[in-house]
Amino acid sequence: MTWAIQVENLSKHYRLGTTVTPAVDSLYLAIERRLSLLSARIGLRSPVDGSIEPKAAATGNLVLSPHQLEDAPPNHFWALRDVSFEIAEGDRVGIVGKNGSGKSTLLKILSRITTPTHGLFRFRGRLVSLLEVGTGFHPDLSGRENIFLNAKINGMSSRAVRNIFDSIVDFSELGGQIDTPIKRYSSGMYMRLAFSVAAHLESEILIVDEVLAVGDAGFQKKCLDKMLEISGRGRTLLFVSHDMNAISKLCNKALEMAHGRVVPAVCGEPDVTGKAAALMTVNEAISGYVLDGTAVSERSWTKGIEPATQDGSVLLRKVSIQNVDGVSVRSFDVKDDIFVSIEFEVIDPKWKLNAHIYVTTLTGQRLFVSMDNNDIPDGVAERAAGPHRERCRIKTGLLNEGMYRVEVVICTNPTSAFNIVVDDAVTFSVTDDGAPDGVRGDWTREWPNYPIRPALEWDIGPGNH
Amino acid sequence: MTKITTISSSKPTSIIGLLRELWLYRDLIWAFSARDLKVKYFQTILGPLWVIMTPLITVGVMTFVFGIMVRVPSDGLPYLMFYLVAIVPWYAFLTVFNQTMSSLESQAGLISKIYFPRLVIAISYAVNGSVDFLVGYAVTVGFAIYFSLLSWEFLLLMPLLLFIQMAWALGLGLLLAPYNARFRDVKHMVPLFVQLYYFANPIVYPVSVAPVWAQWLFKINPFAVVIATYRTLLNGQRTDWMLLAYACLASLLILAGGALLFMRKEKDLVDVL
Repeated sequence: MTWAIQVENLSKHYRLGTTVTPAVDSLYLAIERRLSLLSARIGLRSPVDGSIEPKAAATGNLVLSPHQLEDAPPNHFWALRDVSFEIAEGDRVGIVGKNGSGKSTLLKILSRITTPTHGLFRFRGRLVSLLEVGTGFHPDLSGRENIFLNAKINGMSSRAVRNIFDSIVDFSELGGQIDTPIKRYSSGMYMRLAFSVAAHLESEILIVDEVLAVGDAGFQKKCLDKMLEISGRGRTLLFVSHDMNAISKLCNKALEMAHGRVVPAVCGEPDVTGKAAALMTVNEAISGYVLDGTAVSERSWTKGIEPATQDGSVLLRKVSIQNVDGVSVRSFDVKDDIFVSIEFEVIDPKWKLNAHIYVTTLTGQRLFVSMDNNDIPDGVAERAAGPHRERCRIKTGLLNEGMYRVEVVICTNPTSAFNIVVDDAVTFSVTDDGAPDGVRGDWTREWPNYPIRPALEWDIGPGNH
Repeated sequence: MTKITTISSSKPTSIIGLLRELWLYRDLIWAFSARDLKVKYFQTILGPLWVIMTPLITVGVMTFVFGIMVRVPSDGLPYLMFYLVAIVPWYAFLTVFNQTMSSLESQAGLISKIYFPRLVIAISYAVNGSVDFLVGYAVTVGFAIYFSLLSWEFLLLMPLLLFIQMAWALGLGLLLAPYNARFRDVKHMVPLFVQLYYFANPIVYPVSVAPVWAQWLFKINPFAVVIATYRTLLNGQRTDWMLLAYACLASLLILAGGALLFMRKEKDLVDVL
């Protein structure tokens, strides 16, 4: 396995605030301070402190974490800190991470737009990056002229552009519009042209940053297919997106960034040299990103902080994913039954209660909802005061391989105004060892990546003559 | 075996590497030039005629004011010829210098999204400036024929003089470009100095009217040498070859220095654009 990109201890710091403070600003501040002192002295109002210090009142996921300020020069922060990884030739790597995690800085350095503060990276062959739709396009020029210009900005020679010109126009489906100045294009047409050029550039490595957002569904699919086709020919792809569906469709590996560092993979295999961080599986990265490290198979709450109905009459105690033996586990075989256990306590039996589960894929695609309404004994949903426990069995022969998120709702009746709703209460994964049994029959190859794999019935017999 | 490129935080910039990369991107230089030419005359009726119109109108006015009314000495040339041969290079110089100086800022959208050698932008400006100059030069030659002043030397030395003038404009522009991107003060300061520089050059007046103690000012300034040389080539006076060689060397040094400084600074400037 040869590498396409090697990154070693890449770091980059940026300044906080601006570099130049215009004299006018300080003058203005000074005047303002004097005036406020003056008005305080003559008793109009209390003096105002001219300097406004930001107060970090918001808790939770700050954009800048404290370790990004360690060892940085004064007024600087680390946008990237000691990032190392290696990407093999032909890999399609998805880069995920929250805003401010360093994705764009990494791409900018890899695209050679800016230089790293420390560290280095190598790449094999030519590298083309598409950080923005239609960079370098000139509105007054026609589509044809822009194709040539854009391809040349990306380092192609005139002759090479002429060779691929027709396929670019075909791919963009712009047809006769190609000679219209592009300022008269719709944003979708603009994007089609831009992507068509990028997809046809000759390069061994393609970097794409969140650009598929425009364009109609048909063209988006065409782009994804084109990128898959490109990488099938040995081209390496780096793809940054917040669209987890696109990442899971397109990529075979992933890299999660957080606060300027690469989140280390738990189950990825280490690389040959052992120096660089291993890339993650796509599922691991997406779950890290989507669930923010809260992927748990069991969740229980202590007194006082438990989710409760607004009036405090029902408390949720515990939600867990269990196997057939009632043990809480995270991972199931595709042939296992999966149990969702919900424990709650009724303090004041004033509502009719029903438990619901909402199951989605990791990327948020809705799969199904199940309610206990059909299984309530005697059809009476009024619960006595005290603890209750419900278990829902998700039978084998429904879910495919993958990770699933479960949202739990305790529904109050007749009005649902007091519902208890817990998003992403628990998650679990389903794996498949590929053994030819169950829904597979004698199929031993990879099962297509669709969220469900239901056991359906096939009627097989001779056809009509 | 495909080529391996290494990018590190401490990569020394080498002239050879730079030239090789510029050669790889030579098509882009033409592409930028063609784009700017096309865009400049997009939706105009007169199109490229504007290249001649601007100097011709100023030449008309200046000839009336200084040639007919004030009667500034003109080294034995008709004032129109005298002024034309200076103003055509001046406009080309001015355009290239201004564009190069603000190249990082004006192309920020491109620079912050795609990698290519940034010098390509400045070079394409010089190419366009030369095209503009050549159009104006053709008009100048036309007038020289009309006044029967045309000499072979005037035609043959033009490429060298154009080179000196462009190297000087590019070099100065590149020296200022990083500072212009960093401190916008430069943008406010430069127009004033450009105006002063216009009068420091023998454009509306001949070198011969300057006092002896100020003559050196016209010798150390390559652009003044260029203008003076054009005039001596037309009026048959002796051309100072030593001075020309000096101007050539000085502008080359400025160009090399400007290019090196630009390359050293340009990479970090993306972050402050």
